[in-house]
Amino acid sequence: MIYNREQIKEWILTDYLDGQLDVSVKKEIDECIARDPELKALYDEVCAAAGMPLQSEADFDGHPPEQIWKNIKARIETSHIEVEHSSTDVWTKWLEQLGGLWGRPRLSLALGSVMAVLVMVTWIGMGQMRVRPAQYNSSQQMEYLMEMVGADVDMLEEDNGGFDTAIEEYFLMI
Amino acid sequence: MINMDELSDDIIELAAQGDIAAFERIYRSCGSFVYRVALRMVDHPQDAEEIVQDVFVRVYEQLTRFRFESSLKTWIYRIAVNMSLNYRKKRSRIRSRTAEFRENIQMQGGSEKPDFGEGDDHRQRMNRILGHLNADQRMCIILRSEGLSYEEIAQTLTININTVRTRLKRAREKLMSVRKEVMSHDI
Repeated sequence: MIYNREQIKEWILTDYLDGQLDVSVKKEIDECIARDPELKALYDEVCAAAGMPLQSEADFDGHPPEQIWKNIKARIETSHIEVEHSSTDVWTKWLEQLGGLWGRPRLSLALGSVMAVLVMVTWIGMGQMRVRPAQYNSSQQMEYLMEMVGADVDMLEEDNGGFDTAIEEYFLMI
Repeated sequence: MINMDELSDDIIELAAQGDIAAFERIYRSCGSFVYRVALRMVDHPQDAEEIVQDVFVRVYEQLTRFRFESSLKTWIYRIAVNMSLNYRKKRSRIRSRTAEFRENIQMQGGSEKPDFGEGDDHRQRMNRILGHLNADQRMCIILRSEGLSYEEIAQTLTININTVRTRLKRAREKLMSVRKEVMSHDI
């Protein structure tokens, strides 16, 4: 298969250099590099550049000092990790985390502000939703009651506060 | 590069139950990998040592939650990578404040030089070269140099395999330009 030049350049920078290509494809790229001086130059340059960060690795054994394991062991043994392995309930952990917030003033302040805003918004919202008491109009109420019990206007004019009227009679019967 | 195949499920389960000896075997198997990754992500060996400790304490804490869905190796790599990246971010924030402070001191006539520990020229050079890459590219190059395949890098960083390819390609292009620059200075 014939590959396009850009594709080959990309492979040289990635899969070819890292040995991730199939054997057959790798063989074809080998041949292309051998034929084409520009690709050969690119390959050499990539090899040199990619190896740069690793040049100092020869004298770097990369083994952590023994003290690290001792520290890890000490931390494991002394910390509360044992608690993790036992069946600690989620609620306790959550409370611990909440308690830990006091150690972070910025986060605590931010959370406190958010809570305050939420409380204010809820309070204002509740106020809007509250049913306002009806504004009673005594004459309208009286007219309504009169209509309900079938009384007439004269009874009101007696100005006896509703006593001994059809309205009183109606409610007493109930 | 790392041989973790000999770590059987029994050892992992024992370690998850709190068996320190079993956990030590896990540490011995992949402590070097974690240390090398950390050392290449941060500049100071002391910082790398701190990261290794944090990683293994975290591994110990979380081992009960390990579900054997991925390999333990990939799981530990992921924790190591995330903690190294987080440490680096935290460190760079502190460093920018420190740099500002040092500048002020130098302006007032002080003469503080950065302390790189034991004067390890090689490591400093390595970190200077890697310093030209962004954190993502740097991590891909580090993991690749540890012998991880593209597939393993993708799993460790929880990214697409083509993203691994792109990051490696860009990182190497960058390294090529750095090399050219260094060579032109030498001439």
